[in-house]
Amino acid sequence: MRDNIHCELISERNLLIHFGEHISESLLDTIQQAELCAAKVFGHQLKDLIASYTTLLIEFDPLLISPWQAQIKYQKAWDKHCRLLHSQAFKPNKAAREQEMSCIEIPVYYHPSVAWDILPIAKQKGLTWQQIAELHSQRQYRVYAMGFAPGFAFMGQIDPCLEMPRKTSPRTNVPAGSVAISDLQTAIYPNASPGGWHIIGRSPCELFNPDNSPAALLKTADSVRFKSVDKERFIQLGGCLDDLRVFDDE
Amino acid sequence: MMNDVLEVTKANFLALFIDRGRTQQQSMGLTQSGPMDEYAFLWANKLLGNELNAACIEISFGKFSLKARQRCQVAITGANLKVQLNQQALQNWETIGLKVGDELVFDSPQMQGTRAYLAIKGGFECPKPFNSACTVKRENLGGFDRGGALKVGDKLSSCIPQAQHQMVNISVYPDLIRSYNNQETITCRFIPACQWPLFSCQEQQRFLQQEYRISSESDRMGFRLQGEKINTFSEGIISEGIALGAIQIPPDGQPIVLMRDRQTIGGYPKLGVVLSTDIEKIGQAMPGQKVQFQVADIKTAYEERVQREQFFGN
Repeated sequence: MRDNIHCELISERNLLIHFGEHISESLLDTIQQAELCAAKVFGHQLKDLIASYTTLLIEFDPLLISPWQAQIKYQKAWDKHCRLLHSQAFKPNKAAREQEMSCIEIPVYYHPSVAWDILPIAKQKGLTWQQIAELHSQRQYRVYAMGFAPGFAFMGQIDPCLEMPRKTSPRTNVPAGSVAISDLQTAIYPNASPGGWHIIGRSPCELFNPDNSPAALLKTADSVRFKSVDKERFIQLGGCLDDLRVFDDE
Repeated sequence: MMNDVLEVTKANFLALFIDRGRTQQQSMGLTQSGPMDEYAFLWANKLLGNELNAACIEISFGKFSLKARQRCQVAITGANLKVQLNQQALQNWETIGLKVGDELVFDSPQMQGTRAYLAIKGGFECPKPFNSACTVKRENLGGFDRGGALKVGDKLSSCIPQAQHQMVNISVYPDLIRSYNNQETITCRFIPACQWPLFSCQEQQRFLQQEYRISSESDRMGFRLQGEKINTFSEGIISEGIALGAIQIPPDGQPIVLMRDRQTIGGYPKLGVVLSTDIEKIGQAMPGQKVQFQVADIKTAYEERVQREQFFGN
């Protein structure tokens, strides 16, 4: 647990809290704790929270608490929270086990007919597309941040063998459910949208639906695993194939 | 609820249901949204004695008309879009009683702002996904067809029945009316924050001394500015949450001020955050208009915010 945080007031209603300089899984757990701490300490004074890789943006209601009070209140609460965790000899193993148990499994159809970029990647990496699918589905990932679009989860980290820089020119229309990779991250496009990541599969899962509760399937700090499914199962689960897409092998 | 009070007779796809925005949903990646000109929005509701968060219509750039199908009371504030009632020029920043058959026309911007607000007594009845009327096309949220702007033929209802007798019209005290002049340079105060100390003194000065021009590639998500290039210390940072009014510098060195429909997180370095009471100046700006930035502190931002909320009776 990181005790040293940098708590910056960036406006009359926003506190930006820095927990470290580098992305790591342990920092993710710290920020998850920090979110809980913010919700507890501010209660109804809290307007919004945005957790990201190394930071937490807190929006409070400046009519209910002044920015300076908010800053001190959070700093104190966090110090106390950390002392408490230390004194109880926080058991990371237990936390890890809980994570393991709550791992969300997401079915993915990795076939080149829907995985528009899997063949070029395979060629570039000197692998078969089946190996790409295997490398992608054998790891357990964590959600590091939500953003870009409702329900879009930035997950990490993928096998370094699969590392690909973002496309230089984004596609104007990536289909909903597309499972994609970029740098050391992976994600699923909840809705059809423009996108610059490399598409290596498609999931039949609904990532975001305002009528569901919760509306987003994933949230920050969740554990996720991808499970390769065949065409039949993909369709059975509600997956959509492309109508008449001709794909070249490049 | 009162059905079918007004009907849209002309639309430009830029007239949207708006309230003060969605809260507590950014952790899922949903934008907060909200009115581009909060001051005008709040006045529209206040004039009618509405709840401050009642849904209004934000009308950008005009080309929007409505016909009254019932007697009702509305208020218009914000930009001068050459509004007319049955082809007669109408005063802005006041309430108007409409009779059956009356036609209200928002014509076009007159270099006095770009966005007007139309409120109805009791607020418009509309879908409120995640507790907000705000319409956000890219999220398929709000409006009558999941993220859609108002369109011709839409029938609008109010949350309470409209009084069927003649009502006294009231207007905003002249000193409190905003006059937007799109020929003037906007002065926007901001709090230097986030990555500000990582920019060199030279780049900080460059930013402060420049007059930027508003780019035509500006929308409810962000306003792009054009000027001398700001050299960043880095092409990107680890993505972090973005506050309303954040000024980010992408690798091309042209600042983007993030507005109501901004993305929740982003990885461009930021110079700071525009005051929440100044952001609406940009919200009413025209492409090509000039903007200058001035350093302010949290104390000023806080005092102005509290003053505004107290004034509107929050």
